Formats: sequence, structure tokens, C-alpha cells
Amino acid sequence: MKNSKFEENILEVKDLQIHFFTDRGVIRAVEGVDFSVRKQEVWGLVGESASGKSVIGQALIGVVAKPAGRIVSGEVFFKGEDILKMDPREVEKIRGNQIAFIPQDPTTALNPLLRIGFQIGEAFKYHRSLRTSSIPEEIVKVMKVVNIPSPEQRVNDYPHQLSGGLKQRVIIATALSCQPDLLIADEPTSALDVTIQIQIIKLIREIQDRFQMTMILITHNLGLVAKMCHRVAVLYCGRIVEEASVKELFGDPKHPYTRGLLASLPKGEKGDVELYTIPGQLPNPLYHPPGCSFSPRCPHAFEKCQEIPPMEWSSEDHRVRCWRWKEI
Amino acid sequence: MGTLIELKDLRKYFPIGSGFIRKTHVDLKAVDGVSFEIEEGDTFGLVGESGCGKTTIGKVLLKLYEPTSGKLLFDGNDVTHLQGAALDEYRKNIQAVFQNPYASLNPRMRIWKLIGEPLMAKGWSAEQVKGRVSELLDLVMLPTDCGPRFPHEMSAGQRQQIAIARALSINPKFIVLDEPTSLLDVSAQASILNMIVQLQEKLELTYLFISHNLAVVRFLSNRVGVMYCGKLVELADSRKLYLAPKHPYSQALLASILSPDPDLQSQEIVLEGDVISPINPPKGCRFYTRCREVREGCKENEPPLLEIEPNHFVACHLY
Amino acid sequence: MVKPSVDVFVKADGESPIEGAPFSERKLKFKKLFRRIPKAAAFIIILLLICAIFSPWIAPHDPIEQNLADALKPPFWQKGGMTKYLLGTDNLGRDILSRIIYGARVSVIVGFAGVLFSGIFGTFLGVVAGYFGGKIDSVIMRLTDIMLSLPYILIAIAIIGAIGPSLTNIIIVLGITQWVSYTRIIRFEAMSLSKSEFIEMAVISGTRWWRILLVHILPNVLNSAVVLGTLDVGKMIIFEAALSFLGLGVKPPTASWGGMLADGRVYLTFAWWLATFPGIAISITVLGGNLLGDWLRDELDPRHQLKA
Repeated sequence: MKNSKFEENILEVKDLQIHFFTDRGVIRAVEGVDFSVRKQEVWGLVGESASGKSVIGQALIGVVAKPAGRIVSGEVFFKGEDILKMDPREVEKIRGNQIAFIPQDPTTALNPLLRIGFQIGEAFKYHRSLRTSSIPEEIVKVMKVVNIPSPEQRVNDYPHQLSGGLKQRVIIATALSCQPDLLIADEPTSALDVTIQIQIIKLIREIQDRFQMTMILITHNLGLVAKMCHRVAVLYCGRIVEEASVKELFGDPKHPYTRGLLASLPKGEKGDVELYTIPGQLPNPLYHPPGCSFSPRCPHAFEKCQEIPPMEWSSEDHRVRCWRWKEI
Repeated sequence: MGTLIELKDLRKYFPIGSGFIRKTHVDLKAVDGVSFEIEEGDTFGLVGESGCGKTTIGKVLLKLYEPTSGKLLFDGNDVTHLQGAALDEYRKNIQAVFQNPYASLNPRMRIWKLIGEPLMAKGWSAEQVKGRVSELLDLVMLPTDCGPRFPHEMSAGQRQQIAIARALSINPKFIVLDEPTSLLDVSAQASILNMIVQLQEKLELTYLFISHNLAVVRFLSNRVGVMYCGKLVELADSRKLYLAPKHPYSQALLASILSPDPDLQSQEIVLEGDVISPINPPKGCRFYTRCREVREGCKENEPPLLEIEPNHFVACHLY
Repeated sequence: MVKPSVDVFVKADGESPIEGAPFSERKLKFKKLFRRIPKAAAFIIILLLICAIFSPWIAPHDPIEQNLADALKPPFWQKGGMTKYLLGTDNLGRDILSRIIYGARVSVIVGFAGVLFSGIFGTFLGVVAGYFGGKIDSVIMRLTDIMLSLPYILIAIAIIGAIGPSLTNIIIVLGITQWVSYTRIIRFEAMSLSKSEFIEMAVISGTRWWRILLVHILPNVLNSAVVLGTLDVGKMIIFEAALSFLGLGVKPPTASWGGMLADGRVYLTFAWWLATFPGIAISITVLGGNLLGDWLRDELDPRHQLKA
């Protein structure tokens, strides 16, 4: 089975807590998240808005919004070393080089005043001490990797001259330029049309195979997760509530939130069935409910849910954070 | 139950190019000859990707844009160009819900005023409006005491509920829904979709549902039209389309649905090639640059929309 | 032990526990309260209004009473000064402090009335230009171009030369010349607002254009207009000072800060208090207006209201 490939952990996160200190109060965006990502796997992080998923991505790449946002506690071990406690100069050598990031909106991620060739080449200049004359060649090479047509001409284009799909390819090229070991993608396809989305998914998969990269995919789109990921974790109000292999999560979801999510996806045709809806609303990020944050909306809630349930393993590769996962 | 809306060869062009140059008149052909009908009580799904013209059609129906040419019929009456009192009458029958729950509500107006706006425009008094607003809030399952609040106090899903309440306030027959759930979370999306379906039954509404999300369109629609570059390339009953799409673009679109089922091995159709610019489109089929089935004649001749099976239209030379 | 990183990855706040308000949280609550009331601005504005309204009761002397024997007395803390005249006297023996207190009246009236007239006119034109666009917009923009190309001093001289200097006339001049800054900014906002979805929704609902302008566009630009207005109060006061300086302003012997500046100019080298104190009064008032404008901009936006 595929599992034999995924032996070592390239990333281990322990008890990560990220809070945002605002005028209105403290937003506990990430409240104690533990996970590991194995080498060469695609690990998915799924959540709705205000779940904290983007913040985790930002923390891993080091761009949590200051001064309001602070990593309050936790350890992030990349290749065995805690990058949160590293010297900032050491961290800068890793960022963009060994850990790369693909943001959500390609349009805002590119500087409209700089040619795309220049933007792709920035990482080269900084991380790899290449002779300046050989950089243009490398840039074209990486553009070819992402299938940008006629790269030699397009190198001098400005972002506004490119379509959405091409812009996203440029972003991917920028991320790949130093052949990172870990690629973090935050909603890489939600700003794109569906047919372009398929192209980009195929491209990312090819690249991941070819360069044997590990990837963390952050998204709210469960369909995307089903297509691309090996394992996936579900995030609710800053805590992981379930984590499993993709097959197990979709086939046998154990947490009530995961079940609710899967049940509420539109399916079938007109007149078939009414969609299941999770009752209630997402809580205000300033005031997370005490104990299990999902309890106010959970059909199986009982008194003990006022205490935060611990993470328990339901099988070798499947863990849940719920007091009652055995019964329901 | 007759035909409520009929579009006949509707075109909407946007002139672009500087005002000084009068001779070279360049048009952005957003909608270039689209015809279809919507039956009363139906939900018509209009799908396509960005730039295909689906939103423009919605806006033409709402009379935010005037059609450049073609005809628009409502309940048998020609409503292509309306002014004054006739336009007001028309507006009573057709309302809309838009995509962005943050931009479609005036942030400085209280919720009851927002919902009651169409009524206040008709001259209702504040008392009458408040009464009706309570009914409407009930109808969309919002707490009746949220009238005096401001939109920013409500979540995105609740704001869409407000938008729906506003659309229903004057009892229209027809509602244009332009991507009402694409900016919502999964949980909010489900409840809005359910509500849309229930309201249709309860109030005998007809919908035009514009979206790029094919799973949602399938869930809601009886009949679906697929648009590409300003033209309708396929038009069929929803079930027929989803089971056996005929046009290569429809096939690619359907193949791109990401279903939350890791075991499902769907046929992957990856479209390569460039999209045609809607400014001065070519003579032939607009999809020819990306079509896998392209052959002789596709580049030069535009395929007409033909009925290849009862009520199933396709614009493709394959048929 | 590796040196803890400071910049990008902020070191974990090991000391303060998360549960129960840690130090940083308490500091935030205080900051929040502090921010709500612009203490300095409020103080200045209130002081100004008290001076303007209660001048007869506060001022120690009659501002126009001349006392040539006591001319050019320095402030009380300098040699030769008297506590009778706390800030000294001017060349005609009039008490500087009293003149400043009474001068606040002129400044308050000019400041607020000037802002009101120019603001209302400018905002109205801006909203119309922004919403309708096209020819109407072009006409209004050409009008603003014309106004901008004419130096307001010339217009002031022309108008006041014709109808004579007085407080009312100053306000008229200010109203006629200062509306342009509002129009340009409000027009831009109105233009982008007109494209928003909620305006489209209003059109679909059947709302008439005048109601759209009044109920939808205007309240949303009011924020900017008010901020511009409060920032302009200072400008108006300075303009009044300039006009008075040129002799086009308030007629003597009425006390006005600008007039005092003008009168005090020649005495600057040896009787600095004639011009300096009115100058300080102007500066503080302008500062107060600016601070108030900043605060108002945040407060007036309903989106900034605290959640319950």
C-alpha cells in the first residue's frame, strides 16, 4: 500500500496556539493543534471560515499578521528542528527555499508593476547563489515545468496580461523555483474557473510526483480534498476535531461536525432530498463556546461536552476529538 | 403553467475603445444571440465560467442593462425596451439575489429598512412596512427581533437570508439568483439552498439560477443552459444533461465537478488551449481552440443551436 | 539554548497564562476605553466653545476698551507685566487675553458656518457628479477646475471689495471658494458606491434616483464629508486670519485671531505677545479639529460598533 512511502515526518506541530489581540478582545484563532505531515504525502486541512486553517498556513510560513497576531505557544518541528525558536535569519533561509507557499488569490499575490520573470526570479536570487547570467535560463526552465506556453516571450509580461490560470501557474513557478521540500497551498484553486481548476490540480499532482514534494493543502472544498489528499484533518474553531486517511474520513466519519459537513453538501437532483443542515451558526471568533466548541450545534451533546474532549485514536490512522465517538 | 420568460436571439454588446475614435467601433460581445424559455414554476440553471455572459443575461432580465438587440418576453408581453410606468410594473414581478452578502446590503441601513425598501419605494408607510417585514423575517427563518439591527451584525448566511427576504417583499413572480451561495460556507450554503427550494413551492416562484457550481445547479434546476463565450452551447432538462452531456464543453464542465468521494474515478477531461476573447470573436465555433473533437469546418462555420432530441438543444458540428 | 527569535516568529509568551486576562489583555481593555473618547480633542473643542459662548463672563476685560497708558504691557510673568493683564496688552492697551477669548466667537462662527456652507454645497455636487456621471459629471468637473484655477484671495478681494468686510461676507466668500475639496473626494466615493451591488438592488427594487441619492449614497459618503469638514475647520480659521490680515476680514475693533495676528506683526520683535498668543490659539484649535475629525471617521462608521 502507499503507506510504506510515508515513513518519516517532515513536519511535526505540537500544541500550536495562535491568538489575535484586538481592541475588541482576544481571538483564539488556533487553540492547541497537533499534527504531523509525512514525507511526500498530501495532507489536507479542511475547515470553514474562521476555523483557523489559513492562520496555521501563515504560521508555518511565518507571516502571521503582526502585531495583533501572536504565536502564543507551541512547537513546529521542520526536519527535526523547531522553527519557532530559530534565529530569524535561519528561518529566512528556509522560507521560500525549503518551505514554499501558494496563496489563494493569484491576482493580489503578484506585484502588478513588476514583470513576471522578475517575480519568479526573486527567490532564485535570494536563495541560490547563482551567477546572474544563468538566472534567466532557470526562470524559463521553471516556467516550462508549470506549462506556461512560450515562456521565453512571456517572461517579460506583466501580471495583468495573463489569465487567472496563467497567473496561478506563475505563482506556482515562484513557489517551486527553489525546489522546496514542503509546499503549503492555501486554497490554490478557489479563485479559478472550474475547467482551469482541473488543469491546475493536474499540474500540482504532476509536480508533486516529479519533485517528491510534501504538500499541505488548506481548503474548504471537500471535493478538492477527496481528489488530491492522502490524509486530511478537519478543523473547527481552532481545534482539530478529526483526522484520518481520505478514504476513512469520507467513508466512516466519526465526528458529528464532519458528518454534518459531508451530509450538507449538495447532491442529487431537484426534488430528491432536502440537504442536511448543521443547526445554528459558526460562533463569533471572539467567544468560542467552552469545552467542545461544536457542542451548541451538536445533536449528540451532553453535560460532559463542557470539558474539552481529548484526541483519541479510533483506529491506526484515524483520530477523533469527541466524548461520544464510540456510541454514535 | 405557461412560459414566463422568453429570450429570442438576445444580444448585449458593450462598446469599448476611446471616444475619440468613432470609426473603429469595437464591441465586447458579452451575450451574442441567446434564446431560451423559462416555464412558470421552473428553476432554470444557467451555467458557465467567468466571462461567458451568464451574469449579463441576468442583468438584462432585471433591466439593469438594455439589450442591444433581440427580444425579451415576459408572460407573453414584449418587454424588451421599457420606460417609466411600464418599467415600474415590470419591476414588481422580477427581483434578484446577488452573490456578495457584504456588498448587496447598504451597511448604514437597518435591516427592516433594507428588506422593506421595495415597499417603501412604492409608498408604503413605515408601520405597514414593519408589519410586512416581520412576516418576511419569519418566512426566511430569521428571528423577528433583528429588524432594528445592522447588516454587519449578522453572518454571511444570514445576510443572504435578508437579501432573499427583500426580494420576496413585493411578491414577485420571478427571481434571478446570481451565485447566491458561492461566497458562503458549506453549512450556510445548505440552509440557503433548502430555503430557496421551499420558498419556490410555497410561493409559486420561478427562478433563474446562475452559477458555476454544477453540483448546486443540479440540486436546484429542472432545466439547464450551458454558456460559453456569450453563446448557449447546450440546453436540456437537468437530468438529461447530467447523465449524458452532448457538447464537448458541457462534458468537460461536468467532468470537472469535484465530488467528495475519493473512490469515484471520474473521467478527467483537461482542456488545453486558450479561451477566445469576446472582443471580435471568430466566425466559427467559439470553442474550437480548446475542443478535443475539433474537425474540419469548426473554425469557419458557427454551429447553430439544434434540437437533436426532444427538448435537448446542442450547438456543435458533431451533431 | 538557541537564541529565541524576536522578529518574525514572536517568542511564545510563556509567562502569562491564556486563561484569565493576562497582562496584555488588560492593557487592551484600557486602550479600548481610552480610544473611545478623544480626550485632547474634546478638551480643546469644549474650551473653545466655552470661550465663544461665555466670553462676557470669562473675559477679565472689555476686548475693545482702549487704555493707552497701559499699551504694550508684557505678560504677567515677565518684567513689567501685571496680573491685571495676564497675557499683556496690545498697542492700544487692550487686554490680549480678553481679545483672545472674544476672538473665539469669530473663529467658531467662521469655522463652523464656513464648513457648513462649503461642505453642503460641495458634497451635493460631488454626489450628483459621482452618481450620474457622463455629461453632468463633466460639467461639474469643469466647474471645479475653474474654481481651482482662481486664487481664492482674488475672489475674496473682489467680493469683499464690492460688498464690504464683515463676518457674514467672509462666510459667503469661504462658502463660494472652498467647496471644491469636498466635491472631488465625495465624487470619487459616490462613483464607486454607485457601482456596488446594493445600489443595483435599489434600482431593481424600483427606488427612484432621488431616493437612491438621499438614502443610499449620501449616508455612505457622509462619513467622509464629516471628516473633511472637521479637518477644514482649521483651514477656515486660517483663511479668516489671512483675510483679516489683509484687511478684508472682520472690521476692527472686533477681536479676531486673524486680525490680532495682522496687528501684531510689526511688533513681533519687541512685543512678541501680540501675535504669538493668537497664533497659539489658532494652532490649538486646528489641532483639536483634526483630532476630532480622525475620531469621528471611526465612530460614524456603523461597522466599527462593538458587538454586544
